[in-house]
Amino acid sequence: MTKIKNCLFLAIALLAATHCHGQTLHVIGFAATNDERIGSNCEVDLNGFFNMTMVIASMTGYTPQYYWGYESNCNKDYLRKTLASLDCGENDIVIFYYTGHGGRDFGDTNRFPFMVLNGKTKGEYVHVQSVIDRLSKSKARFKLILTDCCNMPPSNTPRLSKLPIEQPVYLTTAPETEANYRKLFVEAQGLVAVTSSSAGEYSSVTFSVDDEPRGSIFSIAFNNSLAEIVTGATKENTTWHNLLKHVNDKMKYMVQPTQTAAYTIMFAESTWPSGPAPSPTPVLAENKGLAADLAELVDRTLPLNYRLGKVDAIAKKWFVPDAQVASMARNGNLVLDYYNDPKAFLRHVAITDAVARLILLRDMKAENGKLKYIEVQEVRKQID
Amino acid sequence: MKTLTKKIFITMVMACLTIGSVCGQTEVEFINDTDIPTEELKEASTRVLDKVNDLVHYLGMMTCGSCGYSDNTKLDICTDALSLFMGNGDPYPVSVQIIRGKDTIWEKQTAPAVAMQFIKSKWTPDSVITRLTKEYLNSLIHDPFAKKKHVKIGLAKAARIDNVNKTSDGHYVAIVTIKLRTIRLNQSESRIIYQDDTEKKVQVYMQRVETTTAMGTKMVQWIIKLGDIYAVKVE
Repeated sequence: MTKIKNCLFLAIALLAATHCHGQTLHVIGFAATNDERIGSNCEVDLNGFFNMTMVIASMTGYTPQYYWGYESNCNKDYLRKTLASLDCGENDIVIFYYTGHGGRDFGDTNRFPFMVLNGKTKGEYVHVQSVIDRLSKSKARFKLILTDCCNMPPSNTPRLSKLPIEQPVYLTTAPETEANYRKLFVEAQGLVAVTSSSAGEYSSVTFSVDDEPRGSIFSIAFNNSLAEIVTGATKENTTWHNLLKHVNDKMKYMVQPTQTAAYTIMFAESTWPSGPAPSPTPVLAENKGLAADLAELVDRTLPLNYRLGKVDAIAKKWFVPDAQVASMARNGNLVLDYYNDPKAFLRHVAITDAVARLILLRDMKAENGKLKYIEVQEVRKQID
Repeated sequence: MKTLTKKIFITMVMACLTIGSVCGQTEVEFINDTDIPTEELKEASTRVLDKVNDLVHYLGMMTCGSCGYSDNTKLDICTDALSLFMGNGDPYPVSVQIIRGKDTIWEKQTAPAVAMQFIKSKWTPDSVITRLTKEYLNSLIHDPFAKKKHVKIGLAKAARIDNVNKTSDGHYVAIVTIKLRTIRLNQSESRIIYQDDTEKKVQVYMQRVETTTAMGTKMVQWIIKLGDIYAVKVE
């Protein structure tokens, strides 16, 4: 939960920053982390979702603005206030995500369920359709609504799976990766709403055999399918239809009986409206300057001698001398490299040919305002 | 090269790694469970391949006479390359399990520095030579004839992990197979003088620890370090 709280601080910092940027990625994440049975899975989901949106922001050049509703804030009132507070520009993107319990009324013909949030009574439930209706009125160029919850009458026995789960895709960047992210999130205009299971189906969460929470099936499948399709691993055209078909194909192998995501795609034919599209740059809240310096370090068009020459200056400018750097796996819960010297990290990313991009996930500052800890995700080039 | 008797199982105390990778974190403890989720093992295995690919890239850079890297740059590359290895290329502490009859004793020992094997050329496939990795990489910085050498080193085939095995101490050892292509060119780099593909096996040590980051978040960390590199065959 500490990680989510840190994200919240990050989000607050971003609120001020977004006013001066043209294109904003509004990220709304609600998770029933207080739930006794599936709360720990929802926390895993929310961390994975945060990382996914940081990558989207980085690849599209949008500035992320986060709105989190978890623990006691995962409720109807907070959701209503959050949606009401959205102030979107015409080129903005909104991504809404919910992970938790859900259900549907008998006789409800809508394909989408209602979200239980932390509700104890039916009056506190929120129908996904009402979020779709609310967001479809938003000025934002593209809206994505993802809900990971059951789509049948609520029960106290959530589906808990211990089946072998999907292996995450290690995100690499092929030449078309950025273009594919743009196809899905920037060039699209309209709304895509996806819920994790069809009417009358459960949605599953999964645990390892030693009961470690692994997240929800749909969230894992979506996150992985997105990474696969944008990197060209699926050999399919990057479209929302193909992506969601891929998600459903994937879920067939992850849980039995399977769940099938239900979705609506509402697009308007359009191209980028006016002015230059934002160029992809790494982003991290108030640390855009650091992001720019890191981008220079991994820019292979610049001579290596020059980039290595920048290492000391960048370390001195941004970090305390004993700062720590964690290089994270894509799910955001696994450390793959840990540096106790920021210079060692900076030197490594300058020298290695493999890191195409660095995505800054979280940070912590020392009293003097310099960084004492950062978490990064390396986006590596594909190696044949 | 390290040799191990059947009765001695080597385990990594990782003191060297603690210095290089983990100190400064508030908590590090070993996890002894054997059930590594597949997705986690895949992420860790991918990072193993990343490290081997990085090493090949560094070797290519350090042997590239025409790239014009300064000695300082080569020193940086060498430092980063050595950081991939156990003990950063120096001898490193290990705990050794010695079985004497019914008794098992754990003894602190020092493992020899990691080493690399080379086959001199495809014309002499049996001429395997072994050099300490640190010594070899350092020699590339100070090679007075480096600029006159037109050598390109890269992978002839993508690196692959043959297997990841759990050791008796709860850590993991992976073997990565690479096919290293060495090309020597003439002075103007217009003609290939010599080319060979050497198959090598890279020993990789993997340790799974539970750690608390500076932000206070408990996470699983994989400490991955390269060990000895064996030359298998040349063609």
